[in-house]
Amino acid sequence: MKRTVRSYPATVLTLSPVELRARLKCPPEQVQALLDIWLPQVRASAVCRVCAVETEIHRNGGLHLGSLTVESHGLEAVLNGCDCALVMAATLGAGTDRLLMQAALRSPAQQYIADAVASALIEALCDRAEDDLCAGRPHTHRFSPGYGDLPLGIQPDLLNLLDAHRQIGLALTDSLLMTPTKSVTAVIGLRNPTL
Amino acid sequence: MMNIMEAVARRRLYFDGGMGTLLQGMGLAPGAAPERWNLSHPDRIASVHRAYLDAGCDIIKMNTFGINELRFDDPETLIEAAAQCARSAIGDRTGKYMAYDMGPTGKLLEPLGNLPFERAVEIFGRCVRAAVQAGADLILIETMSDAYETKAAVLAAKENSTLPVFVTNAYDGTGKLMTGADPAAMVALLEGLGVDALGVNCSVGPDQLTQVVDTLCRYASVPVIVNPNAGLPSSVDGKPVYSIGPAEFAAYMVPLAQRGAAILGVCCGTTPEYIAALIADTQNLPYALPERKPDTLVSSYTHAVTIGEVPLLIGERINPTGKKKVKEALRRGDLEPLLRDGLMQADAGAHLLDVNVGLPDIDEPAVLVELVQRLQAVTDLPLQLDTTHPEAMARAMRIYNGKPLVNSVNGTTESMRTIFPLVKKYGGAVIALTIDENGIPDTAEGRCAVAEKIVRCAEDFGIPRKEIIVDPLAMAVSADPSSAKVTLDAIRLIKARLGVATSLGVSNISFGLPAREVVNASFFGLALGAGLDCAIMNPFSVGMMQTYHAFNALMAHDPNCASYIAHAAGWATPSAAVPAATPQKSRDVGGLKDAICRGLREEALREAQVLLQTTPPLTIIETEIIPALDEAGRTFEQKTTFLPQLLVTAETASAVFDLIKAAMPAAAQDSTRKVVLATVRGDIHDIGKNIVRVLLESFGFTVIDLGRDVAAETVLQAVQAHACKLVGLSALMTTTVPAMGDTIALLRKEAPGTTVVVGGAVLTQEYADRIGADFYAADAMETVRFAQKFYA
Repeated sequence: MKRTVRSYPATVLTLSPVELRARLKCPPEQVQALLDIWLPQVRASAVCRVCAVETEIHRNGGLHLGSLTVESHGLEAVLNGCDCALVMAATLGAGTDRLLMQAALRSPAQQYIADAVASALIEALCDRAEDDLCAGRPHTHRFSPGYGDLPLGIQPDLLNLLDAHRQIGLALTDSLLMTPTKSVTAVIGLRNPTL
Repeated sequence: MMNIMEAVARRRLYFDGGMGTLLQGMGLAPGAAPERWNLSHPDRIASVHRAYLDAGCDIIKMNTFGINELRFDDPETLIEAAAQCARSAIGDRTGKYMAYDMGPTGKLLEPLGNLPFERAVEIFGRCVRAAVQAGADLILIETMSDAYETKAAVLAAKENSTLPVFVTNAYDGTGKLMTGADPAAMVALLEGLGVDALGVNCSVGPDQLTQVVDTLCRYASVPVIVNPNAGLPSSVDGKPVYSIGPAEFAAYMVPLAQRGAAILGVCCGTTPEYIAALIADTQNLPYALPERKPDTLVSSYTHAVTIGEVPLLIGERINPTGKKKVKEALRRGDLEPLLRDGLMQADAGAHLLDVNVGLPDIDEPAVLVELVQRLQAVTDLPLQLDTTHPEAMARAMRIYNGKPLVNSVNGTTESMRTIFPLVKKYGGAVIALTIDENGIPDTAEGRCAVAEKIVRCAEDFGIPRKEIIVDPLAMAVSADPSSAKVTLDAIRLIKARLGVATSLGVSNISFGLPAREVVNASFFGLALGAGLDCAIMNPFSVGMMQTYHAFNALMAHDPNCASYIAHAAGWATPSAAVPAATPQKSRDVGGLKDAICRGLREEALREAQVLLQTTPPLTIIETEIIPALDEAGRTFEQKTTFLPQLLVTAETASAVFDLIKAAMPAAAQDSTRKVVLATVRGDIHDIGKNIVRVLLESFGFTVIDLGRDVAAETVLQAVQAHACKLVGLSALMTTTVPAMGDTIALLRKEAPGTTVVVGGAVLTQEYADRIGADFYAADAMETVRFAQKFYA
């Protein structure tokens, strides 16, 4: 089992235009003036942190990833052909949540744009972390709790495996929402290159 | 055995090292709780303690880091077992101390998470009581990465024990806590709360801590603790390996000890060899306790400001006195206008914000607490808590996330007996008004005498005089021609004689005069010249801001006059800052409806003002606003425009609507079309709900917005209190949709006849049917259309 903890300056992250458009539900150029206000502010508010564990996958009555046990056909299908997996968590930190609360006070349109930008930024952070963690090895796409049949109920064990509260300040509410809110957890399968 | 504080007064003390690394070597599985071993493997826990004691440490941390009632059903049993392990390791050694080790709850506190502050105090309090029972020598609060949670833990320690309290925070590579606090902010907060030693642990190695330790030693008057990791973790063959070895670690610690760190130790990734090397290299270095520092600090959750260096501006706008709109907002429980005012004062350049909600007919303690909690969520400016209500002051100081400025104490015995115990307990710098039972002295000498009495009384309460900021009171010069002179003389006298900082509510001086701003700005300049350290003032006053920036430029507070020049650019066109008072005719762009559709706020407001001169308000609503919104809604539904554009249109329409409503007789305003909105319990997402709100408001509905994470009972109460028949509920997560079902069930039972619309990312028609909703709205416009039909 191998642990990684690292942080990134938000300035090195590249927002995907496709992701931004999807989050805004609108062509970005249509709201350019608001984007010009919020893109730099969201970047400035973020302290981008990632932690991950690389572990062998054991399959007997469910999937065992380190201390994490998962029952999910969806994840099993994704991890098919993989011997190892990365379990990861990423967050933009509490500063971005505060900025979003500020934006909400200024106006719902501002909140909407700021929130969309922050969502695109956390995806950009995950993309970058995925590249760095996989380091050129063939791998699956990210699969997150809440997708398909992978329940949110595994979040406490997943965050415990990662020691995510201590390492990157990520916690869960009683209803299993992640706080700070602009955070992502995911599992990535590392493909066995010989297969 | 001498108390640990007596011991630290004589020599450098050493903590032990990390427990986790050693236990994993003994077979503790990754992810398993080491605290369970207090019961199952007490011999192994004791052997780790013994190894560190053999290496020479003075203080061992009990194996209790993660124990609390959120994680374990039986904290008391585990804590008692941990104490037995520690005690058996100490055996008959003398001069050794066992620290109750209290780590974070693992939850984020409100408003960033959902753990209420008082609940955190309760959780920590239970552990502290068990620690006292188990015989701990001190409480060590450690690895805290959030200022607010740290405060909760310290309060719990102080309220449930008389043991010494040590606190170490986890600063990351940027030199801040995860939630943003810098070291100076933590010194202000922790010394205000009366901790016995403070410092840093975990997170990074000693090589990255120079800046943090320097700042801690620069501001702290209590001993500074440094317990770093052995560098950064990596792993070899599945086992964690840290980047810095024992000898290198000790070498990095030497300069930190020389910079003033008094208590040393190590954290994650370390073994007894690290402690032995650390002690060998640092025990013979010169040692002294820190000096008492003179700085007057107040802080927010991110940073501290020093009163007494560059003069500071305290924004005075959050105050109902003389402000009809603020009074109305407070009476209906709507704090948003006050929060927005706070943000605008921050934008305008205030360094602190005064917070006053004093109205006779509201529950001042409850409202002040809520406002402070919400303000400190959105602004990082330190707050000045301004109330004459003792309970309101006590509760606001308790939940404040930092060290507040307290406004105010005065020279009466009653005031000092009320305020000083609060300052002693919660920490704070205090504005002291030079008034006592005999009124306000007429002379500078007299005011200085009252100030001196207050300073001495504070010292009797154990509050150093640096925490007192004297306000020698600006009185209307129109009533007494010498009043300004007396105040200015008093500033000079008080600073010279008592050595304390000063503050003034500047604009009182011009009361009763025309063109008050001219007098205010001149007096402000004179007061700054006399040595005024902070001013309670209106940061939107251009004249006073000009005086302030000019003063700083003239007095070498503004290198290269950079700040002055930057601000002066904004003063060159003063009319731009003020909304155009006279409407301009510019009808060539298509009129009000077009301006609303295109979301051009200024233009729309201008058009509306022009129209109002010739057209009845209701006609404007019917022929301009509603058609504009209908068109925007229709193009959105046809997918030719997009949600952000619809929102901008709706906001513009709302602004115009407010302007037009102000011109309508009250009787003509239709406030019967009400909707109660809430994001349900457990869910902290409010964006969808806010979108629905702005659209409903723009269409003229009255929205009672209950916010996010709202209990079913609160929704019911609002429905009953406002006699509202239409409720909108939002939930974003599968885990919170059941709370939506519970809310509907409660409404069905207690308020039959209520219609419930539901929406949110994970909802579907099927799910809405299952939880018994009346209508499922797939997007915000559907909610509006439904509400229109409902009230048709």
